[in-house]
Amino acid sequence: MNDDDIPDHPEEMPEAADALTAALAAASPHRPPTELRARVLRRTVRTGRLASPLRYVAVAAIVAAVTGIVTWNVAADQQLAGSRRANPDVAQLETTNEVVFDVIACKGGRVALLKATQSGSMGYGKLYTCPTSDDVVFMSGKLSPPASGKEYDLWLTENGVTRFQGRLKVWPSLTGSGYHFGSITFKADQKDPSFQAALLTLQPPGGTEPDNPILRWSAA
Amino acid sequence: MCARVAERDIAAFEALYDRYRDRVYAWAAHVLGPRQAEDTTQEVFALLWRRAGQFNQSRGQFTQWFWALTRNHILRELRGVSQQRRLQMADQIAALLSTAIAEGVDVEEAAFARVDSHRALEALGQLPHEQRRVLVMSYFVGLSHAAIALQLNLPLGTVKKRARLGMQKLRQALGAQAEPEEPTQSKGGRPHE
Repeated sequence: MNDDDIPDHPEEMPEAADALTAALAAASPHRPPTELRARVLRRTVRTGRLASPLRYVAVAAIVAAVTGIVTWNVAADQQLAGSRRANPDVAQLETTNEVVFDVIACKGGRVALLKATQSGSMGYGKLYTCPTSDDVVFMSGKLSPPASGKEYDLWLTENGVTRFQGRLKVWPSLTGSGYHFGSITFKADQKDPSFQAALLTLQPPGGTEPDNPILRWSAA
Repeated sequence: MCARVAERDIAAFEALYDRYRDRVYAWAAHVLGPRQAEDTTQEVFALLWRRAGQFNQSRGQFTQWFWALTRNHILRELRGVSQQRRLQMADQIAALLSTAIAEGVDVEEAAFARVDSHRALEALGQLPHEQRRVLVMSYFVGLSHAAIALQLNLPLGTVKKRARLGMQKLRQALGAQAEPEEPTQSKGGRPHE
């Protein structure tokens, strides 16, 4: 055998292990305490008896966990499908997510900030436009819940003409703050639309003129 | 016997414990300290109990498998201990062995232990001290040949040569002891479990 072939760790040479350990035990003053034998046997026997039941318990726990996760997943899917059927707004929100993202993240896009008209109000709105798209996104937050018989309407002024753009559907804030929030996504007449003013009003449905403005922005 | 342990034969396990407990404990006590030696001994035999089914007689002797299992466990416990400290431990063990070889020890114990210890000490006694020292450093505390060369300020080739000669002499000594009794067995005539 070449010297380079000598293993660093001679565990592959059983005669060395046997001889070295036997010699050390003979030479050493250290002896295991007699009670160690009972401890080792107790531990071993206990392990042996528990091994099988523990294995069954572990398998049962894994099966239960997997079943629970699958069941929960199916239930969540069904609940979401039910929400889509019961509330078209949810479905619409899902389908407009991509448009919202594209407009908000649009390179060179503009944002108009609508501020509350009444002192003490926390409400605000943002109108996003994009130079390469005719999609427009309006978002509003920290709104009071709409009073009965009233709705939030978005009015936009373009080329000196103010017109009703759409009703803002609002939902309670997910933070539990009591405020409402909402958004509208719509098509403008052209890419990179230029608005002179924007109003969010709280008024009865069907109005032909803006009334009771809550938020306002003006380019002037 | 290991196969019986794999079948959860407590009596077979007790027999193996009685046969090897002193060696495992002494090794652990010298490198990990007497306090930890009890825990380590328990853990080694718990491993034997759990893994007995993995022993494959066609791939080697039981002692080879068992000492590899023990050594891996003890060296894992030694992780983080510096090479300098390991060198000190190995030198203490080598000195202890030299004393035992020179003076003889009381080996009036169980028959197995007496025969094994007597043969082992005789065989080790035929090795020059420096060769024995390299084997002890390598085996008991897991120092690589490169680390031994560094610690002893020796060329790596010298360390490897001492290890090679030490193993050769040890094998010859053990073989010579076994041949008259068990001429048909190889590798020192160790019994298969």
